Amino acid sequence: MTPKSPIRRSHWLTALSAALLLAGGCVSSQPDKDEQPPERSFDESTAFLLLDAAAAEAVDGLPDFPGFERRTMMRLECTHDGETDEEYVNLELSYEFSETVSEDPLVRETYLDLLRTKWEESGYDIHRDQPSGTGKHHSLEARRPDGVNYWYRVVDLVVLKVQSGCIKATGGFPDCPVPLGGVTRENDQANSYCNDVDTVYPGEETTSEAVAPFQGPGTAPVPFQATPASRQDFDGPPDYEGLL
Amino acid sequence: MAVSYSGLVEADFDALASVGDTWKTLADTLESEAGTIEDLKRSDEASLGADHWEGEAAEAGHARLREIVIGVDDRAASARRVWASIVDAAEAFKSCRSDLESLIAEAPSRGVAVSDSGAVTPRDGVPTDTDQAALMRSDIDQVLDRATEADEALKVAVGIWAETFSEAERLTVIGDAADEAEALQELVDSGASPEQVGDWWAGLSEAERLGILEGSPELVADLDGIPTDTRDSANRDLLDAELDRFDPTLDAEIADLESQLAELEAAADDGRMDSSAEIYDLAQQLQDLRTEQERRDSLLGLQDAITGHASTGQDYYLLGYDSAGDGKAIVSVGNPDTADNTAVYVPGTTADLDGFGGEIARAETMAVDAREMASGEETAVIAWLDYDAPDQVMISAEDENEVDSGAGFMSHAEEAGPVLAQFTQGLEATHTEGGAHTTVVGHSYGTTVVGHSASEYGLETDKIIAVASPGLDTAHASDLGIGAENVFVSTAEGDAIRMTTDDYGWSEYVFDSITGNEDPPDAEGDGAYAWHGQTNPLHDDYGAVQFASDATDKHGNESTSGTDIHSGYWAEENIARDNMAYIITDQTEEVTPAAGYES
Repeated sequence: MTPKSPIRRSHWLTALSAALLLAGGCVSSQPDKDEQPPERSFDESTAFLLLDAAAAEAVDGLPDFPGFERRTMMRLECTHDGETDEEYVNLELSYEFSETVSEDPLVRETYLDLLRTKWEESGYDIHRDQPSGTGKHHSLEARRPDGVNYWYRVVDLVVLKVQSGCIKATGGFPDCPVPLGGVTRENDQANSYCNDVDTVYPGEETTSEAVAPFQGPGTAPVPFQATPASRQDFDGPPDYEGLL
Repeated sequence: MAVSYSGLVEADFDALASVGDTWKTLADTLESEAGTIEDLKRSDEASLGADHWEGEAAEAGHARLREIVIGVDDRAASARRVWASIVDAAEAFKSCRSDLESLIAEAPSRGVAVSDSGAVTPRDGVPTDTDQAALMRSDIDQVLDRATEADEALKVAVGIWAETFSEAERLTVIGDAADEAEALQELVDSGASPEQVGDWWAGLSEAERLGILEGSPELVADLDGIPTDTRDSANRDLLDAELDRFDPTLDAEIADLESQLAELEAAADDGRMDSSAEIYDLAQQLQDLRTEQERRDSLLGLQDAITGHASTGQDYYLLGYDSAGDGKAIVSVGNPDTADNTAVYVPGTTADLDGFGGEIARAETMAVDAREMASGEETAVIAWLDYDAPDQVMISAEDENEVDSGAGFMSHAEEAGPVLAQFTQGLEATHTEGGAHTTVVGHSYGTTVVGHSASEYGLETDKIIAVASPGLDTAHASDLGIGAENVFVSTAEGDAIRMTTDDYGWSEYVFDSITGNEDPPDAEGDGAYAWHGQTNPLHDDYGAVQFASDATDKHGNESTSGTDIHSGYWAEENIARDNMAYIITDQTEEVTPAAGYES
């Protein structure tokens, strides 16, 4: 690398600073209120239900629907001027078909065509309809008027993603809606962002017994009973006397 | 206790496997219960949420619930370790019995007989077979010794992970490994390579490894060449211990000082008293405590970020952290030791421990995308911040200290270069199959770190991705040592980082018009200049593969804000996500090239 003189570097850094300021791109830890994302009709507390309903709307009427295998949720940061804006979050709900189903032309081609038609007829903004380099994969994206974005991603797996865009972070999560397409509790990776205590998943219509390890004959050591210093704080909760 | 001949022959491995399954079920149940407890306070509407419970008691209760969730999650991880240890032991036992059965089958041809109790005698009392009998006895003993070692390892693993050992037994395990811990320290001090460390570690017994981990976690926590799961355990223990050392009354002390300070300042404003010296002292104390509070909160944030599972279903692994200064951390989504593909993501300017959750989220996004692109393979993605990233893009030329922390200088990359190179060597050393398909991904100044590290120290990687680069500290992609065809670069139109190169048409205009600059760096006007290196990575002369990315902000919206575009490569809808996933999963033929791409 050719060494550059500190003086010249400082000169250019100062110039860059000035240019960025002029370009309205200054880095600030305090986001400009005028440049916040536009007001949305929903926030984090209701987004899960809304995105799930949007997914249901998308798959409604698809012929010979084979069901989904997995549901996931990503909670992504929102940034502004290069800084994380903790007042906003970006949720991405995904429904995956199984590996076997993902090989079926029904979901790779037929559903792709049907969703394109459906979203066109709904007046949604189809802003991406693009094959990959060899044409083996395809991405179809459409945005609804409320800002919710659909992404039908035909890659190795076929996945329907529903994205919120940046919405107000509230920290409020709803009860988990029963997943679409027969996703089981074990395959619901979205339940970190909703309360699944009362959700009845497919196959859970009857109550199952709690697991009771080591309940058989014979003596086994009871785990987690030792109390080395680093573990001592796992005893029962402290007395809240005086606080309540 | 030594495993006997008859014990090995008659052992019921199905029963052992069943016990292992029980531990796995326990781990699953504990994880599920941790989620259930978390649900109690997850939202305002939850039964213990803000809508139903607020005030000091609520704050204390929520803090306690958090501790319980993390404690239950820790125990889930421990139960999973027990399960893994049982699986390993069962495999070892089966291997030993198989070898024993082979020896028994060989006995007639070797002229010896083996009794039900394992006694070996010359067949039919033939005197000439005496030597063969001794040899056979020795072979059998070796198999039994291996089985005994596996049995001892299992005993220690269960004792440590399930905490069934008494404190005396635990200290014995630690004491028994004291010599090995000392030897490891000497190995590290001698400058051993990750491969040498890995080989040395593999030569220890499981009991010795657990003894070092239990007694000297700081020795292995960030040591390249040590297996990922061991580093994760060590770092989590160290993180727990560091958090325990914070004063539990820290928040109350800060509130108290703030109150005192407000009173003194009010009194001084009213002219009731001259307390400027006292105000100064209190303000200093308050500042120190707030610094301590920020450090604690950063560590709590890190701990929260690695609790539970990633949305891919993969575990998080804490491969290192340091709370000093701006802080450092290495977190992997998925286990790189067993992954088919591994990506190492190196963030750039402003990255620090406080905001590391965002870096993990980017790693997780890449893991999700890779999983969908190559569902039959496992991809681990590591957020690597084992360097002091620049605090600022822009700096004040008047303040020399600030100048040193800016992204315009190489000092941060020079510090990071050997560390990153050694880390990738460590990944190679600890991989169970001898190495995954590896990609190092740099963003912004992170690309400068990657380029410097690759060119000066050599990265153990198959591919390099440079997103939004101000230069890779090299004149040509082939200088990175992996072949120019394996270097992939992208910078979206309008990204402010283009102002650090001369491929952005208006930047020269702005620079020159503002500064009256008479000495533009791109004196030849060929668009090849870069801040860091002799060539703009986007210039054809650099020789890298250019892939498409969209000018979207982090919201996924099309943007004209240069700084927002700079952060938007992992946003929803950005084609860069697809392209990076294709590269990480070695499907480069599917990558959409930058040429001809219209966003």
